[in-house]
Amino acid sequence: MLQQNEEILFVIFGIMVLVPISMVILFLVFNKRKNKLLREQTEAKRRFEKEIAETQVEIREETLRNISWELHDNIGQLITLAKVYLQNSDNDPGKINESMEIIGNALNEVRALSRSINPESVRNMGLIEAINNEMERFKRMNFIKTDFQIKGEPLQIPNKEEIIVFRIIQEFFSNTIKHSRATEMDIEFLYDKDTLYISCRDNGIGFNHEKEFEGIGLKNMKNRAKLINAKLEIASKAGKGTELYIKKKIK
Amino acid sequence: MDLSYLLSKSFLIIQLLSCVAAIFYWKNYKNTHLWIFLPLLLYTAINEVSIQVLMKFDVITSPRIFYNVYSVISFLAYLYWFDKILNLKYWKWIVLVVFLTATTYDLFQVQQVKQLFKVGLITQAIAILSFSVAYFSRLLNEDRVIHYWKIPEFWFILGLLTFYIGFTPLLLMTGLELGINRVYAISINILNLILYGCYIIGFYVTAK
Repeated sequence: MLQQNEEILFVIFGIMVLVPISMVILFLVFNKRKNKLLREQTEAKRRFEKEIAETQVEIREETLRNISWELHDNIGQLITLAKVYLQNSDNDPGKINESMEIIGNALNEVRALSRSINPESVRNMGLIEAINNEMERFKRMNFIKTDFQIKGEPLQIPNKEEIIVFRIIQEFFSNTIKHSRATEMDIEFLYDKDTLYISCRDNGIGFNHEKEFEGIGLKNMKNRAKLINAKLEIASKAGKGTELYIKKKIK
Repeated sequence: MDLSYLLSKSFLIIQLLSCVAAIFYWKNYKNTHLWIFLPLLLYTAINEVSIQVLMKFDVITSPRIFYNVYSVISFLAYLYWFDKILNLKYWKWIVLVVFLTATTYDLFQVQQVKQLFKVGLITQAIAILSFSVAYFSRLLNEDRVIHYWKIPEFWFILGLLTFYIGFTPLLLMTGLELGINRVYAISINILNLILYGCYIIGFYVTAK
């Protein structure tokens, strides 16, 4: 009888210990996982903010380079031309008028420049407008023939994500202008339901190996795309141009 | 007053309270898979009250047949619910066939209508423990684990998991001639308090 009672007590004790212990373990596991996830989210947010700040600095630097380039190659040339005309005018009203016209053109270029290469353009006017400005700049500078098409109903992308997308595209533009020797570049924005598909294509010399992409910041582009949960791919073949695809789900 | 008597009454009270909570918070979860818990808890309450009344007036001497029927119906409800939240696919059919085979074995082979459907209950316990572990593993890999205490399913499954962690060894001990009936009654009442307590929290969480 005594042994039986001991066994009964043992069973009750066993169950009553087993149940709270399993509950405590379960809550500990869930709390640990919760805290880990919270830490990861905080870290991801911090990384995102850092990347945004770096991206904005890069956009500003690119903008300054563009201003310098445009002042030297475009406006500077016009003013020099006007100066030469005026120096050789000998008070000839026709030449003076021609010089005035050139100076007028230079003034228009200055206005266009100040409007289009605002470092805060993406923040202030949005992604499409910022891309349009880049296209206009290429046209002004006679760099490349461009075509920009928007299909579907444009969706609002969060501003911080727009900055990242713009910087990726800007990097592609920069690579196309600097390295590809392309004469044409097509950009397409396709809005389909809650997704934006971006395609940027040039007809330049292209690449054969992914290693060559690394040098032009592919890794950076991919990392940035990952940061905003976008999918990025680059396709290229030697002599067949380069194509950049971005797929971004818009919440 | 006897501890098991007190426990059995408190267990009945918490069962009825969980039934009241299920009705009170119905509008919050009626369009979710949790809806199955209202009919299940109503049936549980009716079953339990009927047993108490029939036993009191000596209409029946053993409540086993009621509990056996209850265990089959409740398991089918749990299987339906787990299938909805875990997407069990063909597993639900495998589990269902195994469970029905075990229950049929209990019914015909052992002829224990007045005894516990032990094999069926063990099958049920294993299935529910496995589903619970599967659910928690899945939840741990989702972002919503950050607010796990706000997920009603978490509380329902916590209750079931805890209940079956305690119930399975009890079930395995029954029939070992240890005078287990008293132990069984006390333990099952405590486990039921935890189970229905978790259900009440789960219903409360649906309103958050």
